[in-house]
Amino acid sequence: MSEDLLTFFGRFHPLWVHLPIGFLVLAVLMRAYGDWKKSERFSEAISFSLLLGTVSAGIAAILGLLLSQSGGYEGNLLDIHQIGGWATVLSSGLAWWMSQTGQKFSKKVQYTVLGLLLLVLSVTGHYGGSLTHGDDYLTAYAPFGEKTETEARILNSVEEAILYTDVVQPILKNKCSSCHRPGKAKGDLLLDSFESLAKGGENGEVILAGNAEKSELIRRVTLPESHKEFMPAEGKKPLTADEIKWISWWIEKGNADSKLLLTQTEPELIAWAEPRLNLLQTSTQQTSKADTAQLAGLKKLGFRVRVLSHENGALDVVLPEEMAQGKSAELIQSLIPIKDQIHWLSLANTGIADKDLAAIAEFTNLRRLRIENNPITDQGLASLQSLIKLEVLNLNGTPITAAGLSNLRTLKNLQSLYLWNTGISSTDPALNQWEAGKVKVVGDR
Amino acid sequence: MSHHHDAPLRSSNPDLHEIEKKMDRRRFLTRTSLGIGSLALGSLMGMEKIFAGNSLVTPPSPESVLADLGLPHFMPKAKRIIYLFQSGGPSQLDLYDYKPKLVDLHGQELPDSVRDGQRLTGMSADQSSFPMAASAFKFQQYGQSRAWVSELMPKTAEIVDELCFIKSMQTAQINHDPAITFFQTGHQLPGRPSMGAWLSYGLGSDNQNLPAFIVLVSKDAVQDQPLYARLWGNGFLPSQYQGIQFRSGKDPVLYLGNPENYDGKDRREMLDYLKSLNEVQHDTYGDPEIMARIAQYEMAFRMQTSVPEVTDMSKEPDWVYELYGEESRDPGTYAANCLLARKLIEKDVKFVQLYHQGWDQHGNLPGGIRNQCQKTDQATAALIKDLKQRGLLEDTLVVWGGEFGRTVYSQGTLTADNYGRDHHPRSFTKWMCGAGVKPGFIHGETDDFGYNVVKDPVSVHDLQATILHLFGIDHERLTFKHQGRRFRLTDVEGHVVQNILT
Repeated sequence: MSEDLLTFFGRFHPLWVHLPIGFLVLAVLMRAYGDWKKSERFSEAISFSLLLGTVSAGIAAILGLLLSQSGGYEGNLLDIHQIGGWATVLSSGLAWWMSQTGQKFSKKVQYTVLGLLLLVLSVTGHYGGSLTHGDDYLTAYAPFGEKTETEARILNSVEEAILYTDVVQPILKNKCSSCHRPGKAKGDLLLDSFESLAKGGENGEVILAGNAEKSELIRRVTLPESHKEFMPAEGKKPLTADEIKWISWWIEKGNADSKLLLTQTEPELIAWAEPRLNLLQTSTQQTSKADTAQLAGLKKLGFRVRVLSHENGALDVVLPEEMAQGKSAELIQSLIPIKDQIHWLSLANTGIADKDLAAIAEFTNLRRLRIENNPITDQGLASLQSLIKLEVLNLNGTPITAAGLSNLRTLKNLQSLYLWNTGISSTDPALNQWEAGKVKVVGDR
Repeated sequence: MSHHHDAPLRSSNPDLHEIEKKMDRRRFLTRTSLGIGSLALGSLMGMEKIFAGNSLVTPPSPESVLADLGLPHFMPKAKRIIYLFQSGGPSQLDLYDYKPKLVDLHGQELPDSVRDGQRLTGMSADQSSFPMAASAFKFQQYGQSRAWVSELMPKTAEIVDELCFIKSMQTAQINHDPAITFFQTGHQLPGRPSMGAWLSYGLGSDNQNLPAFIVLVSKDAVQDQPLYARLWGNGFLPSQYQGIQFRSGKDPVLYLGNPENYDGKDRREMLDYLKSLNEVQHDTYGDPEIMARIAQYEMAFRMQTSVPEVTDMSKEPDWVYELYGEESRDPGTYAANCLLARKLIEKDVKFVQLYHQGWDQHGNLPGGIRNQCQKTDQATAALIKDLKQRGLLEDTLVVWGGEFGRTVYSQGTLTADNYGRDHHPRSFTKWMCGAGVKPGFIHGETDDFGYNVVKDPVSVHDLQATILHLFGIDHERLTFKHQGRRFRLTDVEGHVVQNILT
């Protein structure tokens, strides 16, 4: 028989398997019904049904074997399904033999065998289903299953975003509504709408406009996790520090106003919330995480890449000195597809020059940049103006001068600037205004 | 023997064929009813993760482990850590915890109300009197933070504005072995993974060419209390996560060079074939230690080039040796280890663990501690300065301290210029510095006797939770299932000390 023909027959497996399930379940039901009615009149039908079940299960198992050999199926699920299939054949065969042999078995034994048969059948069926439809097919929409995070409503632009509806509510929905929702409402508290949130629960109001600290909602989520009143309870995923911070902001500074627009709040909050909004044209690219294949590719090129946080997919990328070897310009180009995910970048000792920094100018999400010990001059620094989120900049061992520093004026978030071994003396007056602006400048020893 | 092994392994070797067919009792039981039953139940209840570590499940790759655990859980501040472990229990009363009132109380009996019935060690419990001893050393305030430092640590005094002192450390252990074990593994009994092993398990390695966790033990210390490899062991974690101890000498890792008359050219091929053999074994038995062994062979191969490179001190200019002290020219000393630690950190080694023994001054404390400080003070301060100017303190955490403190009362006779101090777990000082920790900050306070903590106590688990937090790890969610229970570094305790974080 050719392999194609085997596959052809194998593919009847998903159809055929329903046959033994029907026969066997029917047999068990007849048995139960008969015992309930205290009647023996089904016994022959039960035996026949079990025989059909055994034979059809055997055929199903053989077809299944053919199907598995045609490829595309492997792993634990398959192993279990396969063993389960044969176990079904054996247990149904055993049940049939017991039903027709002259020997008398106690009810206990008979029920055990039938129970086992049902169990094996269910397990096998479940794994078969998982193989065909994916392992979360059954649980994905089950009431107890983990659902994927609810998508926020779609917006055309940031201007439309409402702080409560598009930022606060999705957090509450995500973290709280598994218990505080219509149908469950723990503590008589619903968190599915502004009205119900404002109404509070059995212990009264949970938010106090203008006073986050006194708000029960904030108090409960900021308790030590071990506290019995800590929310979310039962080890569910707690709110992150940022989430708490901005909900508090909404209650306190935003006066718990359900209509307040996001753009009427403060820049830091907007910056935090924007990538979390469901914007239409967007920058979904910006927030999407780099996929593992991309990262593996970069590692092959010699980069050290690691995920800084699974919360936001931020990356730390290092180009080691020994891998750069005069290829740094072209290696930097290979980072461009993931430039928005890179928060920390080190190109120290890689021989990059001013023109390479022009490429870095697009890496606007950078928080920490190490470009020390490279032939970078004042001109190159001009490219860094766009990196407004930069917090740490290491320019040690570069031939820059105090004049070049004026290029960095735009870096409002800068906290540390390293200028050791540069053309800038640590007593240079140009540094005074930096230090006055609370930037830590580390110069010569 | 042929140098080409293109044929698929499984069919090529009859011995392996036999092994593959073998089914022992354990395999039979796992493969049949028990296995199916429990797996089915687990799957139905959506608890597949419980079976991580079950031999039926192929051990996942380190990256996928991290992704599964969602590590790091949030944005980290620290990328690497240097832990300067001062083994033996340095006397906080003679270094950082200045207690001026003791001068007047010198020689007086420790009030019972202060000791409060605390159990002492067998070494001083039967003393007929417990005379309090003021420090023989002068203290002075330094820097903008006005931190008190004794004259024993003149160089550290220069950098206090970088340091975050925790004066309220507490431990549950009163003897060296359990106390160090507690600090390094989160439990006083041996067998748990060390903090470095947890970090390298939880975060992987940044530089594939060097171990993520390297241990350096000073050769120039008084070796009064022993150290054991289990303090940097992997416990029940796969063994590739254990710390690698570099030898204290010219050749930090032995046998990295090729033997005589062997050019090493076919080593890659040899290792590849060995790896494929090991993989067949792993497929057969599912023992995760086989994967660990493969990883270790590969690491050793890469270390043949990376270790000589990173330990090459010839390119360090003279001013560096002047900064760290002349002893730093002698490999294996504390000073040289501090310098090497900086070099390893530059190569993105995640965890460098230094040990310096000899702080166990039960008697003759003034002389002993002076000697200890002379060996360590300059290099410790130099390391901080060096890391700072290079910008490495931004993402490197440095921790200094021992396993417990020392008593205010003198062990043995108190004389005009001599005293000893016994182990004291109730209060002692540690400092942290760098990534994400407040510089020039003092956390916690002890009473006038330096005996009890009166403000903001920090437990060993709190410190561990805080260190993990700085690495972006929620200490309650970095767990490993072993013998039916999920374990974590902080056991069932630990709170992040938010107050010391920037």
